[in-house]
Amino acid sequence: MTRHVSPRLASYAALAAAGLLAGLVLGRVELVALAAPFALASVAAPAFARTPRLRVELALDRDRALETETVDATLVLSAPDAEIVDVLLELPPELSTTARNPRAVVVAAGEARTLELPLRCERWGAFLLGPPLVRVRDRLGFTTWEARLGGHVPLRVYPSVETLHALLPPLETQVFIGNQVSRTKGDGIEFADIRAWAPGDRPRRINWRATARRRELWVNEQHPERNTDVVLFLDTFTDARTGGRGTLDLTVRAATSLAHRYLERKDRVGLVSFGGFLSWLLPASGTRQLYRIVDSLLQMDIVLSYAARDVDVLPPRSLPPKALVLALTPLLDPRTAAALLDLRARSFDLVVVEVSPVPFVDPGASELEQLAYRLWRLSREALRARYRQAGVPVVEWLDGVPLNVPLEEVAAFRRYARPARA
Amino acid sequence: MLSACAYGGVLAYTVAHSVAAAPGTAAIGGVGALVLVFLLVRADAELVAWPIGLLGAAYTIALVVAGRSVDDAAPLVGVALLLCGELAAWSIDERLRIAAERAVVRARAFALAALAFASLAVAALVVSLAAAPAGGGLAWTVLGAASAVAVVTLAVRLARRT
Repeated sequence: MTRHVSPRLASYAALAAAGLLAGLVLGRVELVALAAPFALASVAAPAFARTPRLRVELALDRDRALETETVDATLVLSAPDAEIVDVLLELPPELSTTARNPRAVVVAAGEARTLELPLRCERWGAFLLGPPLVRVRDRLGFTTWEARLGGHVPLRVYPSVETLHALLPPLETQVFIGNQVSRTKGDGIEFADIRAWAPGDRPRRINWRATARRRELWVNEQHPERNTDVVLFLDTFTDARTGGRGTLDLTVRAATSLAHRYLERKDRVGLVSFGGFLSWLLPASGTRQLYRIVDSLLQMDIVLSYAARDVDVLPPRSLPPKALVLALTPLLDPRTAAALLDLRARSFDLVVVEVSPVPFVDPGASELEQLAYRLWRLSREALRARYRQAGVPVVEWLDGVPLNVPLEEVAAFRRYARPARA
Repeated sequence: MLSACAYGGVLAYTVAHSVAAAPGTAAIGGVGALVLVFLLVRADAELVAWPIGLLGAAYTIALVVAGRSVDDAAPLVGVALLLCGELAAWSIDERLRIAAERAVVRARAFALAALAFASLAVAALVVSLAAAPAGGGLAWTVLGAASAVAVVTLAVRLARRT
């Protein structure tokens, strides 16, 4: 433990010395009496000071929680001698507590003192709590000992999942069984068409009504149910943030909701974090993949980088053919804008959900600032027009609006528009 | 507030102790009061010694001007000055946003009271010993000087450690 002696103690010793010397010089006993209390404090404080033997244990009632949930942290302090302890559990801005933190408590000799701190998880993230900062002081605060005791405890706060009523179907499905009705024809449930019987067709597929009308065998054709590959393409180059909320928060929340929902219907979901720090997860399905994605999202952060970067840096398997690439981007960094157009040029089925930074930007007060703001919005409009021209649906998603709304807009766009084929 | 009360009490006593030196002692004590207010407002515990030192100097002047008779209230003045410093430091500590439970406040109050009583006892012992007919001489002078040197050494060592 690091020991600190209050500067007050040295001041008192100096006052005592000055009083004694003045008493000697002037021959006045009153000055010695005046100095006596300070001399006593200067001598008694170091004499009674002893290094404390404090033990601190930090524990959480669980190590995983959802946003807005409360996790109980418990601090157990014990010491063989009675101590006055100031204890502080440093919390990241994403966690808050209604309990008093820091607080000063008395730890009785040989007894364990338990302090409860209910932690409210305000925002998602992976955190390492502790060790708590403790300061033991003598009764008058002349000597203090400080240390971090108690070890670390991890806490993962997962983003809350938004209920999505409908998901975007990709233009093409994969070959494995899933819940998405394929556009192709094959074995399935959904009726697709009828055709003339061919050797090898099963008798149960014969459409007897059509056969009777045409006097030759006709069979039904169905759309097979297939799975799809979805790649969530997250732009982490930059973040527009104000008042504790920002585009990255919305992006992560949307990605979690989409991954959760797509994986529920047996699709394969991959993740690409395209930013200063590049990371990816190959598409896979199942609960384990959901946890992988969410854990990866928890680590996501904005890393400032000036490096030129395009989609060539991504491994080919992270962007499988026929995959639906769902880009969540604030459209603030030109590198992402260029990479997305590049993906479209490579015939990927691309959808851009623009996580709007507009609510997080102050237009400014002066005329010049407002002009710059209008120009900036016009340049964004021009960028959207470029995407639409390339056949890419791009929808603006504003803070506070349910994610269903932009997804429905994309579905409407795709109902009437198709990407051009070369 | 209690610290200012202790200071005000000692200042009033000092001014009243020697009417002849009252303007000087009041002026020095007033400067000390300003320093005390300043350190309480700025929450600067390192300045605690200055108002005490200034008031101690004013009291010394009052003693010297008043004459040779021993002031029996000197132990009380010393304890009041110590309480002034300790209460000011406590007041500054309370500004920190550390929620202290009642037992912590009680423990400090008991400790401060114990220190005050022990100080009063020691100071009273010093005054009463001085009144005893022990005689003068080189030995007492050397003992006094050695005590003073020991305290100065202690002060220097503490200053280095802090």
